[in-house]
Amino acid sequence: MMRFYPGCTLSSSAKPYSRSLAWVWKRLEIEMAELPGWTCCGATAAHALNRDLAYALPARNLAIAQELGDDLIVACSACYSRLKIAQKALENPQTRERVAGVLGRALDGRVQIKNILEVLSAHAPRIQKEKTKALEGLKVACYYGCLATRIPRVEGFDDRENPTMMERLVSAAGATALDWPAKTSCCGASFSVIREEIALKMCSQILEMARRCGADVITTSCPFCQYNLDWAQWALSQQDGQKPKIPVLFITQLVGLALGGSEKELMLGANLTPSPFPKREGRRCSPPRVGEG
Amino acid sequence: MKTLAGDRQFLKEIETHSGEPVRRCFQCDRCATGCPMAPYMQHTPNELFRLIQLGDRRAVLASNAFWFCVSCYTCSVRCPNDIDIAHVMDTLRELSLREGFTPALPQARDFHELFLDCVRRSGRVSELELMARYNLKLRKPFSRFALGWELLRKGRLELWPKRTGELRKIFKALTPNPSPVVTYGRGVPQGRGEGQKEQYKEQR
Repeated sequence: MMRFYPGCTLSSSAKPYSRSLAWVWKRLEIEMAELPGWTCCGATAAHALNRDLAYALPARNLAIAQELGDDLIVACSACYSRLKIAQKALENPQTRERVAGVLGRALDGRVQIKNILEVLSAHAPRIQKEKTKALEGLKVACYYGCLATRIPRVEGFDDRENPTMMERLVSAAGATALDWPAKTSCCGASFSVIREEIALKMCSQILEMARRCGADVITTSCPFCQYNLDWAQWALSQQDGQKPKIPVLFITQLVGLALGGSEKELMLGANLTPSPFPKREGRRCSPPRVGEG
Repeated sequence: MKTLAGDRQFLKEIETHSGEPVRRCFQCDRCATGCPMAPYMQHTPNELFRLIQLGDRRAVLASNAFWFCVSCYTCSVRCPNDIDIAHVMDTLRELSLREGFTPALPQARDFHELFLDCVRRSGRVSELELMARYNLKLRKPFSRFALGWELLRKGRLELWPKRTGELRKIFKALTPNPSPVVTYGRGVPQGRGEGQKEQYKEQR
């Protein structure tokens, strides 16, 4: 069975992600259970200050999955990256022994860590078959950010600097995937807290690029990217009074829309940038028709 | 051996603790070209690496470069010499703190420390708790109030997160005291897989 590692953000700032993800899982009849007793992967903080923790914290979760004999599915790009990097570092027998000693658990490094994009892509044919017309004509900029694909010395699920998995998925869901150059640019990550103006500048550049390429929507699989791009537009609108322009959707929200999910089921209202999908009868959503906006 | 600026031991020290072949850097500048934070850095990664090679310990550890590094790993995957540059930045950050240099971004250190302390106490991070504690630390308790309210209103802040004390033991073993501080030099050789390490030794 597949075990799901949600990560800390999915129960708070990325709540719409976990809600829409659960909906999509149910709709596609994918069997998945949360990893029991999971704990934080340490994120940037651990590897910034204490590299022992940067390996031990993810290793604990790997050990739990290993004891269950299950694959690990990870939604958050940062968690995915930390788990992968820790697994690679644990190939060093000295590091492995030390970490296993601290954890009091055995580590064999055999756990398969999969990104959510891989799982969704595996179901792309089914999504294509069962999609509604909800996304027809919608131009989508797929935004990967840094950590999903750029993991040093680890073979990823896609190209590091020009990944295309999300584009294929979005096309299968019936939307038009744009070719745009900022898909693996950095959104500034924790700088949106530490030094707002820097993150704001980085996000503005990405948003401007998306706008110039004609994107109606940006979609991403990373909670931090979604939050930062969402927040940046909200913050800019507070500064200059202009309304946020490009909605930023989690990939599961977009796929969910294609599969007939409602705004409420997919928690679209929780995004800081308002959804572009005008409500129809029965709270179903549809994109703006061509020529309307 | 003394070089122009300092001593060679510094290069060896950084290489041992990061497990990365810093001496291989030949100033191709790809790291600096791709770095989104380069405009804010006193030294771009390649400049920093040259200073390490020259042994200018003070200039390196007092630099703001590794504090502005956002760990996007662009440099690491582009380096033609296969140096995990972002990982070396982590090593430098730890060393700089241990040797008592003032962090160029004290709020970054505070943020990361508070983050780890939340993890230690609760097993998972509550963003609400983290932001509240961070605001208190900066003595700006009402900073980002409007944003917080907006997130709360939309159901994007968890008020009562699940907590577990499971990680206290791990933190106790891996940090010198209850607050998460740096452990530079206490651990084992890091980073690379076994094969790569051997290969690197042979090449030297």
